[in-house]
Amino acid sequence: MMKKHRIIPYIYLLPAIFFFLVFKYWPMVFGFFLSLSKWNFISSIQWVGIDNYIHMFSRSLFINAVSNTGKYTAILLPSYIIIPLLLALMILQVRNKTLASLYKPVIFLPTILSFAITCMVWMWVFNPSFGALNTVLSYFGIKPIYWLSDSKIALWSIILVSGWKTFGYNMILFIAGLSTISDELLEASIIDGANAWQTFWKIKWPMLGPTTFFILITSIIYATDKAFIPINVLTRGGPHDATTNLAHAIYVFGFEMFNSGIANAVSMFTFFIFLILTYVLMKIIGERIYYEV
Amino acid sequence: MKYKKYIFAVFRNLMLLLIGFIVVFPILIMISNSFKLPDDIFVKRINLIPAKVTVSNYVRAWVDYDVPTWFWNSIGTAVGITILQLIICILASYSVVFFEFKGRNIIFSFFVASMLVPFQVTMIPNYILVSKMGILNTWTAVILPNLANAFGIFILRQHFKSFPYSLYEAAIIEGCNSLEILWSIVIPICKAFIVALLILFFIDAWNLYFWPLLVMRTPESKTLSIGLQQFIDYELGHRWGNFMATATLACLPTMIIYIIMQKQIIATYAKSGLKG
Repeated sequence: MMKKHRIIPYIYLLPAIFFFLVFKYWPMVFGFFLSLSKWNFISSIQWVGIDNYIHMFSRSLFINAVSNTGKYTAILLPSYIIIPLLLALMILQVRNKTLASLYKPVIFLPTILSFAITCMVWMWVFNPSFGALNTVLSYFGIKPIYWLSDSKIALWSIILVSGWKTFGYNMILFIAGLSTISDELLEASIIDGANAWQTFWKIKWPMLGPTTFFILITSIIYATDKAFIPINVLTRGGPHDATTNLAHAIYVFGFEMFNSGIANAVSMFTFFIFLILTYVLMKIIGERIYYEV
Repeated sequence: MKYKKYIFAVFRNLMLLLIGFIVVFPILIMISNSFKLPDDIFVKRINLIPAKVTVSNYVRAWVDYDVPTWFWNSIGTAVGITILQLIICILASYSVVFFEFKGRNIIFSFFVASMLVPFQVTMIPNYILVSKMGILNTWTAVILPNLANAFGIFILRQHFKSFPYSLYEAAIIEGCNSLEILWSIVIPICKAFIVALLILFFIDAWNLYFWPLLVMRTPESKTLSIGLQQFIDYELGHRWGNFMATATLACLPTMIIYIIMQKQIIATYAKSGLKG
C-alpha cells in the first residue's frame, strides 16, 4: 500500500504548478480583463465594459476571420480524416517489406520539419513565374495561376499546404489505431463471410472512434490556431482578408493595430466557440465511441 | 482472381510512390536550389539536379547575414526548452503517479484542462507579462511560457503507470529516498521512452514560430524560423538562393535525428494521439 505523503509530492509539483499558473491560467484571467478595457499597450488602461465585444462585429477583419475559419474547418475536417485513412489502409496492405518501410517515413516527413520554413519553400513552389506548380501546368498548356494573390484561390493554397503538413501525422494515428484491432476479430468476420467493405464499416471504423475523435478536435484547433503559420508566411491574411483566420486576426488587431481590447475580445470569442464545438463533438461522437479498456 | 489482385497491388504501389514523391518534392526542391546559381534557379523548368553545383549560397548566407546568430538562438532556445520541459514534466508526473496525497486528481486535471486553452488566447497577456519582466528579445522570453507542457505530463503519467510498482516498493524498503528512486531506478528503466520524448520536445521547440515571432523582434535575437523570412520579403528583395541554403541548414538537425531514429519518433507521435 502506498503511504500518505505530506510535503514531498507537492515539492515535485511546484515547478509545474508555477508555470501553469503564471503562463496558462493567469493570462486567461488577464486576457478577459483586457477584453473589457481599451488600451494601446502604452497609455493607461481604460475600462469600457462589453464595448469591444460589440465593436468587433462591425470590423470586417473579424467577420472575414470567422467566415474563413468556418471554411477551413468545413474543408479540413473531412479531408483530414478521409485522405489519411485511405493512405493508412493502403499502406497496411502493401506486402513488399522494402516499399512498406519506405512509405510511412516519407509521408510522415513534413511533421518533423519546421512548418514556417517549409511554408516559405512552398512560397517558391507557388511562385507564378518560376514555381513548380505553374511549370507543371504549363506542360499541359494551362495559363499561370496566381496561387497566393488571387483571392478566390489563395484559401485553397493554404489548405493544400495544410494537408501536406498534416496528412502524414493523421495517417500514422490511423495506422496505430488500425493495428490495435485484434487479428482474431478480423479473422472471425472473414469466417462469418463479411467482405472487405463490411469489415471496414462494422469493425474497423467503430474501433477507430477515439482516433477519429482526436483528429476532429485537432483539426478544429488547426483551423482556428495553427493555420496561422501558413497564413502569416504565405499571404499575411490577404488578399483582402481572403485567407485570414481567428488567430491571424488576433495577431493583426494586437500587434499591427495595437488594439489590445478588440484583440482580447476576439481571443475570448475564439476560446468560447472552441469550447462549445468541443463540447458538442463530445456529446455527439464521444458517447458513441468504443473504448477498449 | 489472382491476376486482379496483382493489378491492384501494382496500382496501389504506383499511387503511394506518386504521393510519396509529391510529399518530399518541396524538400528536394529546397535542397537542390540551395546548390544552384541564380540563373539556374530562375528558370521555368523542373530541374532537381543543379546544372552546376555551388556552395556560394551557403557561404554568402553564413558570412553576409546574421545566420550564425539565428542558428545560435535556435539552439539555445530549443535546448533550454527541451531540458527544462523534461525536468518539470518528469517531476510532476512522478509525483502524480508514485505518491498518494490530497488533491492529486485535482492537480492533474488542472494540468490537463490547460490543453483546452488555445495558444492565441494567452499570447497577448503573456507578451505583456514578458515585456513587463524586461526580458523581450532574450532566450528566456521564448523559453518560459513554453514550460507549461500539459501533453508532456500527460504522456509521462501514462508511461509511469505501467512501471513495476514492486521495484519501487523494494527501493523504499532498502531505504532510498524518493529522489534517489527517481534518479537511479525510475529514469534508467524508462530511459528509452524519455529519450523519445526528449526528441519530440526538441523537434517542437526547434520548429517554434508564432511565439518567437512576437517576442524576438531585434535582428540579433531572431531564431531561424523568424530570421529566414527576411530573405523572401518583397520589400527587401528576394534572395532565394540564400534562403534555400539557410532553410536546408535549418531543417538539417531534425532531419538527421529523424533519419537515425525514424521508427521511435513515429511510434512516439503515434502514442501522442492515443489519448482517448
